[in-house]
Amino acid sequence: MRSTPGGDEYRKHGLLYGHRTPVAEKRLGEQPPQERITVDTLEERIAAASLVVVGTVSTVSMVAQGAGRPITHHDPIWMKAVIEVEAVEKGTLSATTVEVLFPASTDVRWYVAPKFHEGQQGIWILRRTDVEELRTAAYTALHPQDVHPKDRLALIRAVILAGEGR
Amino acid sequence: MLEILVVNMISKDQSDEAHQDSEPNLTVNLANPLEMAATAFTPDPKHGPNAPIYVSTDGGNTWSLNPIVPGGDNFAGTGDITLRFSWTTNNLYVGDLRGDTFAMDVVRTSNYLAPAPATILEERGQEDQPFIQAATVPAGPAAGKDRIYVGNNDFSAAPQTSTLDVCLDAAVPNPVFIKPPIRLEHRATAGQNGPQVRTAIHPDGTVYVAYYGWRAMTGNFRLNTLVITDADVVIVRDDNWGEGPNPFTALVDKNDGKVGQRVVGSISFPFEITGKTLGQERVGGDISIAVDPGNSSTVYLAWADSQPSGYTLHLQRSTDRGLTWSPDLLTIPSATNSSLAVTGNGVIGFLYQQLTSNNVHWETHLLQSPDGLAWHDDMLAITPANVPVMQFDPYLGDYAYVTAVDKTFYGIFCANNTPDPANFPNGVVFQRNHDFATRTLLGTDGTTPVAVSIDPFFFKVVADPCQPLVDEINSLEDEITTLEEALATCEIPAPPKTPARIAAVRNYIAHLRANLINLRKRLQQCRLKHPDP
Repeated sequence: MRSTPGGDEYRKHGLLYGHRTPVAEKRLGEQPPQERITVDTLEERIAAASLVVVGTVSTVSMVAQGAGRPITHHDPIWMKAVIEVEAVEKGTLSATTVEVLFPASTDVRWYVAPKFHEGQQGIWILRRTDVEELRTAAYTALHPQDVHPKDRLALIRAVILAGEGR
Repeated sequence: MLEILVVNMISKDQSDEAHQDSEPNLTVNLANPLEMAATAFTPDPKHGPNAPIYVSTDGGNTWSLNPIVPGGDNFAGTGDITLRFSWTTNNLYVGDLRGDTFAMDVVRTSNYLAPAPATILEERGQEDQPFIQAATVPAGPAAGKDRIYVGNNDFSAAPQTSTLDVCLDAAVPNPVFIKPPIRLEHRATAGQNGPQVRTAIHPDGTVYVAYYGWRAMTGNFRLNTLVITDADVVIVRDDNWGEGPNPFTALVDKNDGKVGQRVVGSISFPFEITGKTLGQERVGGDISIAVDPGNSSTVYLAWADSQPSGYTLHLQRSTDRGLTWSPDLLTIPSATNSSLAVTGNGVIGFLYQQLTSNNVHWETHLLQSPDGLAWHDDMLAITPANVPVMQFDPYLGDYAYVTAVDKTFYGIFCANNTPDPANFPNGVVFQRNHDFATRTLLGTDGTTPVAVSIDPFFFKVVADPCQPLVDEINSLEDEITTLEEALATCEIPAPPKTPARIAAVRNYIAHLRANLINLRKRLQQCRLKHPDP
């Protein structure tokens, strides 16, 4: 087995390098609408992320939706969370904050996507996503494995480093 | 005594699951009624690329999963999904919002038990609530052709979004759908219509479609305050399967001269994103339609609105092909998930789920009536309404379903799955591991307790046109017995017990006995016409 930084915690969580954790068993979340949902792993989420940050949600607000959008039970109800960034673990970010869109909807289409609140601290694994309803691109964290408590930082770093070493 | 079967559809090998398997649908293969298929928001337990359907080959006694619907996800399987067997060709058709992209798919399989994924016949985005019906033309030049009708809310057609996708020869290798899809709405809307577009097909080629025309609204959907303040329930009809140059224009409103008869207008109801009016179950309109297989002019319609007493279901009937409608045959408060079917012997079945007045229980009822006047009520389930806590919307589903084959109703509903016999007054069969004594679900190991969740339940009820008379006789017999016992023990009449007062009670009992004799005669006549099922 290949050794990885942060190995103890890495192994403790069963996320050994090359081992595909069947995250669906944990009722994980939705991905961007354009993307197929498959049994995923934390490694894959991080590998596909353009930005991984540690921080705190400073504000949450509803995103204005353009006129004429259909009224449907499957509306994501996009909200915007502003994260005060303490550290960038993957990718580059010039600002000290990053805006993340998330669906507030509890509809069957969106229920597994993480919901954020002011003061929430954590690690965000972010993708740049085309948000069809808003006709814009934005950072999103739509899969439950895209948000973690801060005490998993060593684990997340280990996964990032392992991925860079592949 | 009616034969009633209620089955929890989660199979034994899935005993560990605690997912919210809500929003059910069911189809029975007319060519072999032992064969059935069903759907719910159920993901593939093996995490494969396709979403599962529930399948049964023994008349609904046992069920298993077959993952054949393309584009499944690991969390709910698909979005809205419905399915139908054709009438004689064994083909199964499914309309769904794909689990991965949420585009609307119409798919087909010729063998619903085979592992091969169903074939995609049609795919389109910006859709909601595809609700499919299928038929096979029984006679004439098109005999043997499968025909499918998918009601949906096509946002690309805004502001007149009520839409019907029709394929008049769906069993061929590359079926062609009528293009553009049939736009049902011929009046101005409030920007769009409601998601419920429901179809009923008669073997003579009559096809009815019902939908909500939204005319005005107030509030904010995203804040869960939206109210449709002005809506019509509209019926359109085609008399020849939807063939011809102007399909679904046969019914013209007698008041405004436009296509589509308005059964009721200026109604109001909330359109919720999450449950507010009926406990954890969101509401937003409710439509079901069924045509009498013995007479295509007779059609039944259920719809919902807000009344001073709350969210309410209404049942009406037309006997002139949808032109005029009866007053309410039934008015059911605090109820949703209506579904209608008519048996071959003309019994109307009305399935619905009703929240009890104290919001503690969901009652699932199947009412049946030979004439729309006298009703027999079978309580299929009375289950906790506040447990489990909702995993997502919809809690029970935006619909349930009943269908009829010959003289039998087959249906499906979702409910709390606590294995408590008291929750199922007409009995229940659980496939998944459970302990009725401790009212506990058990895992696949047979010992580990499993949390209560929402499961789909299959039911089968044999229709009996005489059952309302049986009910009336039973009720009258009970009343007579009670009065006679009270008279014998001197509980009645109240003092002073004069001979005249005692005689009055006896006269009343005699009057009831005369009624009883009349009822028994009527039952005898009914049984001659409809032998005991």
